Amino acid sequence: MSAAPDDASAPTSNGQAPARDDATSSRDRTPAVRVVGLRKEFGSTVALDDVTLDVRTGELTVIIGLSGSGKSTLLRHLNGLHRPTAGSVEVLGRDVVALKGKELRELRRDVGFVFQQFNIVGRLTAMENVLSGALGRLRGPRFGVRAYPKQLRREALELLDRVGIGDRAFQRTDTLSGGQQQRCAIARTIMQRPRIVLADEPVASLDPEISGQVMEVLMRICTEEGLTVLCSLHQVDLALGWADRLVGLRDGQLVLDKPAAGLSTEEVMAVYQRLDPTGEKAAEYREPMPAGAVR
Amino acid sequence: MTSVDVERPSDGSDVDTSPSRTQERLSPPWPWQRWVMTGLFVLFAFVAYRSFGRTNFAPSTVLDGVDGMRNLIDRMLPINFSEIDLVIRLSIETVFIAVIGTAFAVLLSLPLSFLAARNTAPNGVIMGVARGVIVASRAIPDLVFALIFVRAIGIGGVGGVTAGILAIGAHAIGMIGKLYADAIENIEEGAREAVLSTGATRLQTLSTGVLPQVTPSFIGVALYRFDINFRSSTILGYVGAGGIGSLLREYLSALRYDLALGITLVIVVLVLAVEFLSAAIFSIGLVGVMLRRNLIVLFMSVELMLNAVNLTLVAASRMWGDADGQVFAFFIIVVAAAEVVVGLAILVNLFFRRGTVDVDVPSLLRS
Repeated sequence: MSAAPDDASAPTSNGQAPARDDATSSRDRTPAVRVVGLRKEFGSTVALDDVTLDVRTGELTVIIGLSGSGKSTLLRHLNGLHRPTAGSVEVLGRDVVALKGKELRELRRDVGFVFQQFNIVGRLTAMENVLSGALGRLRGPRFGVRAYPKQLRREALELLDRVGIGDRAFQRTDTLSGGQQQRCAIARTIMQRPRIVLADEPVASLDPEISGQVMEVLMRICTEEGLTVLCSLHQVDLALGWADRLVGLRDGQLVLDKPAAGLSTEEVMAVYQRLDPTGEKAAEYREPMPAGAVR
Repeated sequence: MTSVDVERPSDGSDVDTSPSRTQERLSPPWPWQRWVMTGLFVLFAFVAYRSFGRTNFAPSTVLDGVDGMRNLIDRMLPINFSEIDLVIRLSIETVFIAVIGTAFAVLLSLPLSFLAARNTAPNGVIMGVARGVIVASRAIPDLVFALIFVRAIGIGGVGGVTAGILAIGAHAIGMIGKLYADAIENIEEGAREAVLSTGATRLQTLSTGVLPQVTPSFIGVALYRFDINFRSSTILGYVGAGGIGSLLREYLSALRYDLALGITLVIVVLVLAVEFLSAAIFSIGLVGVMLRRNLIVLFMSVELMLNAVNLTLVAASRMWGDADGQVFAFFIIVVAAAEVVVGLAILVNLFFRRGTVDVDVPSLLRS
């Protein structure tokens, strides 16, 4: 029951309203994330090209874009899993590029990451996976649930209940369903007591029904805890439903950055329609179908 | 035959110039790596062929030897068990060598494999060195290691046994380390990355993100290697490195094939009991110390380990007819008793003050 990070808890009381207004009211506050001129090359491929982005504390930003447009790459720069080719990345007032060793680990404690493929350790129980989120608070390696203090175990059980899989606590996670695995991964992330949560297509490998439920769990907890969230998504309806702000990436470049309120589906879809903006081609393909109709 | 028409140009070349495709090839490109592999295969086939000629290996040689084999079998029978005491004593020694050699190799391979695996190595230089050690250990046969260590430490007796253990361990690192590193490289990377993302240290990431994924293969490899080590430790005695092999050599050079067959049979039905018992007890104790957080259980686990060592000491001292081991066992018992008295006193005090005996609770001295 240690104190929550102080400046992260402040905007909770304000709710998300300020983020939807124009930026003037919160301009003086240090942004939770500040990315300036970020460029990343993998060999000859340019994954990110001059991306500049500020995310205010407590804001819920959804990143959309085609597969390969650089969404994951951008998120992975924010907790130091990738190093930029050029540009600067500042998270919670700390220069991520310059951090290493202990300082980098401390940053990572403050930045939770939810992966598309869940990335939980299948051979461990749900409980132990959640507990692993507390490793940053402990010293030394831990072998087995019993190696964690009782206090942390209680906390982990509460979190498992909050994400709705409390009854699965001592089941091996590779026997859980996809939705349950992602719930477990979310609990692990919250166990870190992060101030920012990065979610990399958290529901992309789940069916639409479960996607909605898992998204609801993730967003509810993040809102309750007053966390800043950056989430990449493919489902435009989910994006418009949850986001304070939408950011679009195309071929590694920032092509959309607007508050979600009042944004139309067409404007959002424009981010996706790279090859066929008018739908002409699609009509062309559809036409000859009846002639050689098989169905 | 259905009339599936593969349109090929009449000149039989591999290029199809149909206008609607961007790709003109019908078969994958043939890069230089493939030429190298093909070349190596041809070279190997050629060397194998030439080797037949050089060594004069021929099936007829085997047939010519049939008379000799019948003669050998005649001289092996009836089996002679007259020196059974000596045989059993040396057999136990052989098991000792295999068990300790394997344990030694596993303990050294654990850190080595994490340094040698591409995904967990701290940097390229350390990875290169670790891999070099593993490759070198695999390249040198255990018999050569045994010859070296026997020279360095001594033939027969305790020196021979020590040399045998070192030889078995040194060579086994090559295989265990390699297979461990392979297992680490084959883990699901995402889980490791996720643990790293929680702000865990390198060691914590390895223990929580990597180790659970590789535990089954680690145990499997260790057991498989023990099997191999047990067999090779019977041979090592041949070069003076202790165990049953030394006796086997004596009998064979004296042309006592009946006695030699007796030994071979005893090796097959070895007395594993003592060594396995103490190894099992020690392991239980070790696991207890690592996993349990209750101080009383921790104490019991430590005692279990101490007594497993005692068992080994007494068994060894009985085997070599030497009182040192038993004296040592008494010494350990006395020290252990003193340790328990002090430990329990602390424990009782802790319980009165804190109302618990969980080892994680007393953290006053931490920052």
